[in-house]
Amino acid sequence: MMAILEYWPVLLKGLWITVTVSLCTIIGGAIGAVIIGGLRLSSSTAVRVATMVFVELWRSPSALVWLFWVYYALPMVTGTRINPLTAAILVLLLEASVYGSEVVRSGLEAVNRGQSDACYALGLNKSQSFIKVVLPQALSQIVPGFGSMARTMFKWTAIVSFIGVQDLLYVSQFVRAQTFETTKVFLLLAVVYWILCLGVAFAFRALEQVLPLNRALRAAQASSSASQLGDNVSAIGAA
Amino acid sequence: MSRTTELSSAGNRVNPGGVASSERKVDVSTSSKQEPVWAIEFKKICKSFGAFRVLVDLDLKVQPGEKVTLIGPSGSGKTTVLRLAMTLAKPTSGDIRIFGESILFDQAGTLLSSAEEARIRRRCGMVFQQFNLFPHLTVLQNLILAPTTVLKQSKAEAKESALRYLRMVGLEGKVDAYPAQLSGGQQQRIAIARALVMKPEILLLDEITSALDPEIAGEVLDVVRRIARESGVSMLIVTHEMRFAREVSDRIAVFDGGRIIEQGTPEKIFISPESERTRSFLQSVLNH
Repeated sequence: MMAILEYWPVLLKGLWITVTVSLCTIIGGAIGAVIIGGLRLSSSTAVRVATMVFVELWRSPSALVWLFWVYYALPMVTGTRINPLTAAILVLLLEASVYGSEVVRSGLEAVNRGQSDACYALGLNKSQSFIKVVLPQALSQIVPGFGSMARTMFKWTAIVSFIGVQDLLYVSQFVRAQTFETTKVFLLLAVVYWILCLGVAFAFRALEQVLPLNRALRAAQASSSASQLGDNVSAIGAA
Repeated sequence: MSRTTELSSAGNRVNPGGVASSERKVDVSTSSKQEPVWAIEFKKICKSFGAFRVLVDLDLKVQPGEKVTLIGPSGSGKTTVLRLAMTLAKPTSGDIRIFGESILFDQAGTLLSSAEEARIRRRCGMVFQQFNLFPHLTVLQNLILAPTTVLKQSKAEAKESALRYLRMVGLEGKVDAYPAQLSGGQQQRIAIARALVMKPEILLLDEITSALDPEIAGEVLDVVRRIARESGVSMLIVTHEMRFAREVSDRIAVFDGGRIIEQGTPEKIFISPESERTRSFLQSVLNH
């Protein structure tokens, strides 16, 4: 184990790359998912169809195929070489956006149509209704699903090592080759991924707690429990 | 035009302070050409969903300040009339005018831009059967959202106005409550206050007590009675509460099969209806 720990600066650097790629993928993917998910529900048929075609085209091949395409094939077509880290983030971000857009779409569709009608009757325009009323409510449906997807995306970041990005998996392979401590290196790798995945899960759980609709429902539950308790106390007092 | 503006800016809006026109009926305003300007006017409206014709050649005019109630069996097109007035649905043919301005076409006959449509629509407020309060916002936030976003009022100004209307509906103590913490009747009263903070000149009430039990419905109807009595706002009401319709309305229109089969004062409709269909409908409702 000591032999492995001698390589801690390299491992730390790999960890940093993995965390960076993950954060860019999850945050960028969330923004992309809201944009694509919103466009999928556009009132314009052309926009809806174009978005649907893009989503179906993107999610059919595996992310690894897209990664090879963007990193190896695209420069041959465009003549511009792309940095492996940029290519990795771009592909994973689009992957998260496309898959996340389905979570966003179903979350938006779950918001009662009456909410949009009420916004319209009050004079709010479409973007005001979306930002101030529909999206805040839809987030209660979207965030748990997106949280689960974020954990998967976090694990997918390991594919970036295929194009030479020196992430945690890449540097672990390097350390294993140097130390021949295969079992220990991979055990350490599994533990680090497990801890980071748990961190992502906790972050999304915390986010769920502060969502406006969840906060409102918790307040309603608390006041209902308090009044139930009050009734019980009164009943006991009367008895 | 000046007559219309005068009505719009004063008598026709709801004043939560209670100082307003107590006149049940307001004379029809006139334009410069002495043509009557109706608060709302449906002209030869047809509305179909596929092959199903919901409204057939509907003509309906509401005077400024007038309270008109639409009654009739379910599926006769009453709610569609309100949704058309709010432009939540578009008619298949015909025109709708709010204080003389078409909400569908400009003077050249082309479709209105959405901004222009929104400007005219702003003179209407609507209260829905299912309340449609925003569940993630508190009562106060529900009431100030549209005034701050649409009317660009300051938060302080919008809050002051919201509190006035909350007092009017008797719920000033619920400012920080969320809709889920309120009873159905309270939610509907908040929904009425939310519509009123936008100071509409026409209030559209769509079966506002249908989702409430009769005891709770009474508190909502009391609020509407008070608004009807104390304000000059025009009202187009869809309801199955016949006693309420009789008390609050200046005129009642009976719908059947997408047409108005009879209309008149509450006394005429309830005591001596002309149509056999009206008689049978009222009998079935009142004996229920």
